Amino acid sequence: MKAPLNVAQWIIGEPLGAGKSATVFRASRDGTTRAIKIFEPEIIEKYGKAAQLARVERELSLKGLRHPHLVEIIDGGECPDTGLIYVVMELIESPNLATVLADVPRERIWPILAQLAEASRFLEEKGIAHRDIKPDNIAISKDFSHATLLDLGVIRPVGIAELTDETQRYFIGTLRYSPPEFLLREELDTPDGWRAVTFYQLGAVLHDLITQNRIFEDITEPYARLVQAVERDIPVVAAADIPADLVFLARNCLQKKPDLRLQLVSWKSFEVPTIRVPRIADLKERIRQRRLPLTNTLDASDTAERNQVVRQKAAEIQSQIQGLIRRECVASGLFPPVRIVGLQDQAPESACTLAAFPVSAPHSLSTPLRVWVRLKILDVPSVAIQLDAWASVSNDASETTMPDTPAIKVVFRGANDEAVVRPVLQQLLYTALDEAQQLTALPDQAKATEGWLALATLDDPRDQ
Amino acid sequence: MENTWWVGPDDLIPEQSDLIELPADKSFLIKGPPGSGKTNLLLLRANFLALGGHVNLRVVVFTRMLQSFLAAGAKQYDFKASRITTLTKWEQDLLFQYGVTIVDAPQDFEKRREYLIGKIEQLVETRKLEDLYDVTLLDEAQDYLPSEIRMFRRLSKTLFAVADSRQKIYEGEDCMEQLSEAVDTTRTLQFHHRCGIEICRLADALTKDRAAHTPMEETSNYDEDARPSQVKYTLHQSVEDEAGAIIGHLILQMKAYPGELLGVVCPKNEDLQIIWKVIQESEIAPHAVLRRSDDDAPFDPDAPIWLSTMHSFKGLEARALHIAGLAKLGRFPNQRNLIFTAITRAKTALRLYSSGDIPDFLAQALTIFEPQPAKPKIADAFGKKK
Repeated sequence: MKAPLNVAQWIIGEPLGAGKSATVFRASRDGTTRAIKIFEPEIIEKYGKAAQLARVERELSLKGLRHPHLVEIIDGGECPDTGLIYVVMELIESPNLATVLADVPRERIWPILAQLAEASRFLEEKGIAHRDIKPDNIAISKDFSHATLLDLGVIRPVGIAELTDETQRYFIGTLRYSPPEFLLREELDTPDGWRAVTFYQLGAVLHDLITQNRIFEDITEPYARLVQAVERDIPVVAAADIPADLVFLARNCLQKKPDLRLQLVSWKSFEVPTIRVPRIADLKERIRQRRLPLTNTLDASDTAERNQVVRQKAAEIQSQIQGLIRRECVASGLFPPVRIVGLQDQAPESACTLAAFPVSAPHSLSTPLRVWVRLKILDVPSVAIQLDAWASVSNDASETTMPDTPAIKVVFRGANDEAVVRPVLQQLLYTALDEAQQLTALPDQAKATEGWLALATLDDPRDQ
Repeated sequence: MENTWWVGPDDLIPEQSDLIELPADKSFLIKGPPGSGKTNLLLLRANFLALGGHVNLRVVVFTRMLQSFLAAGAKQYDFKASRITTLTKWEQDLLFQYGVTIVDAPQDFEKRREYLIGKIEQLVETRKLEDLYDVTLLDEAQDYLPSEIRMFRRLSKTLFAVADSRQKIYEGEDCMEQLSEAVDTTRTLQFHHRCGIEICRLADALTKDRAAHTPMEETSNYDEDARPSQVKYTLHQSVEDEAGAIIGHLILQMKAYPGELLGVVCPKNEDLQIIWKVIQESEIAPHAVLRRSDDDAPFDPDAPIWLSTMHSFKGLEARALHIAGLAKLGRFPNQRNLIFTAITRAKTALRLYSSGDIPDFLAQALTIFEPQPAKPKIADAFGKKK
């Protein structure tokens, strides 16, 4: 675009960047310097002035709202002199993340992501979805300490059906960074529906930060191939120098199914944990053990075949869980001998494991302890799982009993990976043995204290 | 062989230690899977009873090789090794004591066995003998004949027998019923520690026709973290080729598991002799010994490789075990029990070799180690080439 000299009394300076529909310039007025976004006249011609003004109005609805990680909107509208449509924003001199992706120190990734999530959550609380979160729309300070979410050009209020510019649901935003449901414009126009889109886009940014590459980098042409990738390909996110939780967060965010994404990710998932135990050994183990997820796309119409694949996968993961339980019990030397039984389950995606410990005086256990772990596969291609657990001290030998809901704890929800599942099972086993010992250490009390264990110190991902 | 015998009470789990001090005036049958500590318990129980004044006791085992194996444990526990005897020796001694001469004993193993117990039965009947011993302790009791069990019971005040019916490998009538009737109480050991998980999985696949048994994988307390287990099956051109492959693995295993017994076993002695010949011409020759069931040489850490038939290896255990010549397994009447017994001798590394067809049940069981084939697409049916 040829730079005009003056727009709404702003003196236009050098161009800072150009997009498909607008160009951003440095601009000054009354001794202050800002950034001004001026829309291409051709775009206005194409889609109509009313539609464009409606968008600007939406952007201006953020005027006066301030968030440390969100670009501030100052002014905007239609210039009475030139007829150009413009938005004035805070001028941020930092480079955009896309240009410095490879320079971001590894330990800054989580704080940057957390800042972007804060800004996105701030928007959600105002009833707005950003819809175009990607590295090009993120400014990053030179010391990588401060990230700002830019370009509110395609923001959208949630739950308002009739938008002037969206009578036809054509694609907006950026294909490469869009979740499949947004690409097909099948997203739900609800806070949950848009949150699912936001989580995906944050996950894609996280993907880029971790892999130092654009998501689906190797796919540029043809366009249809990229569409296909967004719909079907599961990006590989892996790194040995990144906390495992962050790698999993990226994988969980990039789940193709929005409802599954929301099951696995919450706003809390993005927060930088206050204490982080180094997990290098776990990561190495995980990378060594990593198995390719089941990638064959399942034909939903063939239920029997699907059930067989799911059942097989469930059996495989159950066997892995049983191995982890046995290894922990045997190698630690802290448990009585263990008997590990796979219990039948009707549902193909479910499998239950019982770890049973007999009475053992040397282990201060005067009543048999039983710990159940129920596996449920939430999504086969990405091998997302949920683990429920419950435990009892009881002389009743029945193996398939189940307590009322309060005694069942959800102990894990996420992509299946030994490095993450093993500590979860460790926590479960030690908590159960500890509680059982406390209850049964005195043999006289054993009778009175039979029952379900509270598993009180286990975190429930649902609480997050 | 380090770590073979328990050192102190802390090595035992409650279900094991409970058995040692059972009442001395009652008879017991202890059942348990391979690696549940049956033989070690037998020895500790014998020592416990001897220390309690029941010195007139006999520990009866099946072979000289097992006798020498137990003698090493007896030495560790200060138990008189002379109280450990083989079935044949026990029979011959008893007949000798009462002046019965053995002149026309058959050479064939099964026939000789029938002959000897027949002589004992005659002796016991004529002399009205009973309760000659305070207690008789039987190892591998599933392999005795019902008539032998009846004689043991009659000639001792109490019996203490350990058994696993899946490990019955000799021909002859099953004695488990007689055993149950001969004792006051039957106890079952649940947990076991010898065999790695992969070995347990193969054992379970081999015995899944026997619904009454708890799968070994369920109750295994083998430390897989310390020594990950492995099972491999390979097909070869000839038994000589099998021997070549075995030698390659043994060279590495001697370094990986110093001081531990490494076994090479075959169903048929003729195949074992072929492998022995190849090994004798190889660099591991000084470290290998050919063992027969009637030799009682102790374990020598400088010659940790033992070659024997599957039958002779009964009751022993090895860190790494090579089972070769499996093409001839199908010739044995108790082949299912024989292979089950053989593989459960292995602690960590188990390799199976054959240069011909193996029995279908074994081939079927080994499929658990193969990846599940993906469902083929129609296009795959046309072959790989385009």
